[in-house]
Amino acid sequence: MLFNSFDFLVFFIVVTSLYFACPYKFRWLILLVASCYFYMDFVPIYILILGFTIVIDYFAGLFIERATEPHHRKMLLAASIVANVGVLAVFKYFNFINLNIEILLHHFNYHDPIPFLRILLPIGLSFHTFQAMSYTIEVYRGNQKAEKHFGIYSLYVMFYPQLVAGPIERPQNILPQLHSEHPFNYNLVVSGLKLMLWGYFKKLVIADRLALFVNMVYAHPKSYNGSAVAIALVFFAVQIYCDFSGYTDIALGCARVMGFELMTNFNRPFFSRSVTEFWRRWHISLSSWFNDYLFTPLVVSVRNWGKFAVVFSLMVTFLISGVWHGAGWTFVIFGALHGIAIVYEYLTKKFRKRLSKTVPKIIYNNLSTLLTFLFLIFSWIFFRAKSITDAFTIFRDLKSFGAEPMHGIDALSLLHPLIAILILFMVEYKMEYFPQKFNFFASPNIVIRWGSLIFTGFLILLLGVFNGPRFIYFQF
Amino acid sequence: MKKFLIKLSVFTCICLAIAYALQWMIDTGLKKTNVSTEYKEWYEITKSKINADIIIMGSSKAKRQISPKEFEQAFKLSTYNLGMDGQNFPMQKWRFDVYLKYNKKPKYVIQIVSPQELINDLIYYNYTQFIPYLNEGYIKRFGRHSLLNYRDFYIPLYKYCHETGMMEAGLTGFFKKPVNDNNKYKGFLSVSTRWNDSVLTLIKKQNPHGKKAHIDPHAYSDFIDLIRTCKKEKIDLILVCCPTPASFQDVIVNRDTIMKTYQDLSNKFGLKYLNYLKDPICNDTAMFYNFNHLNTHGVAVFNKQLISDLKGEIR
Repeated sequence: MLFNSFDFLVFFIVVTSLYFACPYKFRWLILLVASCYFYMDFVPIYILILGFTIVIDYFAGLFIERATEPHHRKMLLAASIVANVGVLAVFKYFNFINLNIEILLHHFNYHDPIPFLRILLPIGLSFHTFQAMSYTIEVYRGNQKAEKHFGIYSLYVMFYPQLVAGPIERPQNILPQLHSEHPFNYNLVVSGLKLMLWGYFKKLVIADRLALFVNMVYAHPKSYNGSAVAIALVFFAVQIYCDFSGYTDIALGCARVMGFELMTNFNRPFFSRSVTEFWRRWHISLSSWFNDYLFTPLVVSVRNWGKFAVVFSLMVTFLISGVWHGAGWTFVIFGALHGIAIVYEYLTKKFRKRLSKTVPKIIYNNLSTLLTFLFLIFSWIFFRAKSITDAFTIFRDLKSFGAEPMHGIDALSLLHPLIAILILFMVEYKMEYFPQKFNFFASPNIVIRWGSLIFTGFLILLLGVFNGPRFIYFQF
Repeated sequence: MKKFLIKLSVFTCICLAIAYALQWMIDTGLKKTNVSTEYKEWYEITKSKINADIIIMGSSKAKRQISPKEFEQAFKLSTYNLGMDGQNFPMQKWRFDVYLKYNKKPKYVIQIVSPQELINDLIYYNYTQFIPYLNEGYIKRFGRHSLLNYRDFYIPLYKYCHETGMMEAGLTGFFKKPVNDNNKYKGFLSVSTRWNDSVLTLIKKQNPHGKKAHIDPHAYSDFIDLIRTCKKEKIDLILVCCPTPASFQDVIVNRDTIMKTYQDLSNKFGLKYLNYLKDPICNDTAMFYNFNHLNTHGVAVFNKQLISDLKGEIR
């Protein structure tokens, strides 16, 4: 079930009520059953896939901890990683790899293709496999004790608030919390509910409103001129941010109500002054996962290559990061673009630091933020387009930006999205530069506090799109 | 937890009070707008603005094929077309019941019938027209197989989530005057385009051996109820089966069996029944704009004939 559905609201109320009504020692069971129910609401049979990886990783963790030979420990870790990556490879990448092999063999006049798999991608596969892998890797590294309680370990993998689209948690953060007692905490409950409200606002009022325009343009890019396409690019940037961060806020809020603190996944990424900074503020759980488990080990293993070690490791990491998002060449290009940008920033760090001292700070910072944003919307063309051909159609259309007026688009239909973006910008600006001020949701004045909550709820009902698309990151 | 529950209860009560007030405002506003093509008709029904002597009932076959203006000119009796695009008979009956609740009973009801009238399929076509009128018994009668159900009725503001912009339109409409014109004359709107057989071709392709129409028991029961209501209220009920292109009639393999049902009912209850399925109009596609409806020219020709045939019945 989707977070932005009535069924989920009922589910959340029931599960939370049962959770607090239940004695501490059975709460893990309530959450596990609820998580299974939540997951099976999508495609029930896929719980078996989740079960398979849970069993593999649970025993792998136990055996790794018990094993004394480094060789055995390594083999067990490899088995766990192969099992998880194998599941990903089959469900997510098989058809893509098969298609490209078929095209390649076609050039050599070989026409006996391997059949394609007609299977749906299990929801949240990329997220929970990465979360499961982080467990076995941390046990292997000795940073985490193997979890003995099978139920608690299962809950670690499939805790429903973060099951389908993260944040990708670390065992050191979640496992102790799953073992702790969480008494009812008024402040946490209220804080969690407020966070959920803001998440719904971002998803329903901003993201799904913008999606109406973006989907229209991207469905038929040839039918729109440069101005419309340029607006769609900006809208998509805000849409994907609000969609994903909105989901994250709902997930974090849900968890916080029950006393769990999940990791922050976004930190106002559009205020980034470089692509490097962007990846420290955007999808933090994924970028830190890649940093800890791919980039760092890789750069250490090839450290003898000097600067090229970093360049090589960055490119590999970002190419894989691109592919993590989807099985398609557009995602490979997306990852490559970001890799190139980060490499550029790494190689020109000293030069840019010198440059920043020669230009007034306000100009340098704002220009950096603007250029970073422009790069992001440019790279997201590949992220959003259905194919490379469509992406290049968008580039071609951009050439006519400003040359002719927009046609086929009602200017009034842009009013709501623009108001939504303005609200978002004001809130994010306040959170970035004045975090202690204008906290209407936490105002000591009950009229302002309740009034702002009711007003936000009212805006969600008035401006929200309730029959909109599901969360973008669910497809990953 | 006690403090939280108390505060939550108070907060919820405040929210509910605001929500119900808003819902009243939005419903009132929506009724005055053109957000749905049927709002003007519903508004006139529930504001007792119709009070017609002749009521025309049916699906789009009524709405687009029976002209109140022609009837008014011929019979000098006020006429109104309650026909509903894409709606089954139970829905038509419900609308008539709501009509009777707010308006004086008519002298005559012309019910348009066809082989596909007495069905009770899922209500999804133009269902947003019912949103401001759920309290008229809609949920009780249709909640089980409609896209609107008990949640829409009992949870304030929930029903507007089905279509983006409804709340906004309702709030704006609350402060405006009712819309006067929706391109229809007393519920009637004809289509002036030429014959297009694309949909008919698709239907024939999907049903190479024809298809069977069926009579739903609930729809049939509602039909009997209409007959009894008219008898009780001394309303003259006339059943009319409009012309349909012969090429489409052949697709419904049990057409004659279904039409016999209407004949039997008219015999049993002493109703006037006019069946134009074998009329020469049916062989002339220039009179129709699609597989099921007469175009403006066809409407003019057919209404002239129908009025002539009803001259002895309507005085």
